[in-house]
Amino acid sequence: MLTDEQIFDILDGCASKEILIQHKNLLSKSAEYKTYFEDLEAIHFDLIALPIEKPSAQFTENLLANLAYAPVKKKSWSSQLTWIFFTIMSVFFIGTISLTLFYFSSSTAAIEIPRVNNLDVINTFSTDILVKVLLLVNLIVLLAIFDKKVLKQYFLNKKMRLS
Amino acid sequence: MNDNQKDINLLNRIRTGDKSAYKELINRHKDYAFTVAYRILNNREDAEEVAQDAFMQVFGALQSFNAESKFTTWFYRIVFNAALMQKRKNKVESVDIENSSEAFLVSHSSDSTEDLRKNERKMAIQKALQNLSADDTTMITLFYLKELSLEEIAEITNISAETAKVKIHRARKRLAEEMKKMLNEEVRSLL
Repeated sequence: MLTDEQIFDILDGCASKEILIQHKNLLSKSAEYKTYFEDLEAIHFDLIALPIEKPSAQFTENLLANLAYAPVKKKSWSSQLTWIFFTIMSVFFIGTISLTLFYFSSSTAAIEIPRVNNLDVINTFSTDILVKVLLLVNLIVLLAIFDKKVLKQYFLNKKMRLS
Repeated sequence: MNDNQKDINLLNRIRTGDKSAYKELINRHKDYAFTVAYRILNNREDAEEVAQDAFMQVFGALQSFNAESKFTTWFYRIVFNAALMQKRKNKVESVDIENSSEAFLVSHSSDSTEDLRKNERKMAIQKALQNLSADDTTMITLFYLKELSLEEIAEITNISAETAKVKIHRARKRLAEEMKKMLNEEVRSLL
């Protein structure tokens, strides 16, 4: 007797030659096998012949109407976090360089290396509060990116695996 | 142009704002989407809602679709997940008698003996499918509905192709057992 898997392989047309030979022998010799095979074969063909269900006649129209009334999805701020992060960093970087260049070029005094520390603007940028605030902002943005790109994906995949 | 290329072409037209492409895409896939949902849910209204939601999700997430993959695999996965979610929501399962396929088949059956016999078998198969678990029904539906490959079914249901093959075999076996049980009950009721 062949296993159910082997019989289904025959019905699906993917059985090996050996199984097909065995199947032919069993069909001619075993009435029990023949009945069992014919039962499964009948179900197989019934399933192939199962009708495709039709939705209501208004399906397409209803869907198109829903589409027309669907609110236009605005990109949430969280989807632009990466850009926000890079923009803040770029602005800060360009601003620092341009201010530094401006004050260096307008200075008539002889350039001494320690003089950099005397620039008011640089000092303002270097104040503890500003540095802390910028660090905090960047840390929050980084955490938000991590949450969106890593944690969210991880829990979504986990949820899908569980379902 | 094969079916998938046609779908990709329609998606590109939708992306460029061609409104007629929406209608074409819906008409191409609504029957299959509805059938998959209906076989899982056994309720026409719920199935229609799920199929509509699936289309809405597709149109909302067009940007995330990878044009190199097969549209139907992606789409059926959305339908399948939406139907399963709906099934979980419907804690109390109820069969919509008026709209059930049984009623449909009876009301549409012709008088010839051959047609009656065919319809009886169809009814029996559909009733047996309803008695199977959502997992078994889905496997059988996906396998027989559109001649999807094992790899495609595996991708839709998020399992391996080997597991999909085993699950399909088991589902068919359980369906055969269910049919046998129904037949025995019918014979017993006649005696």
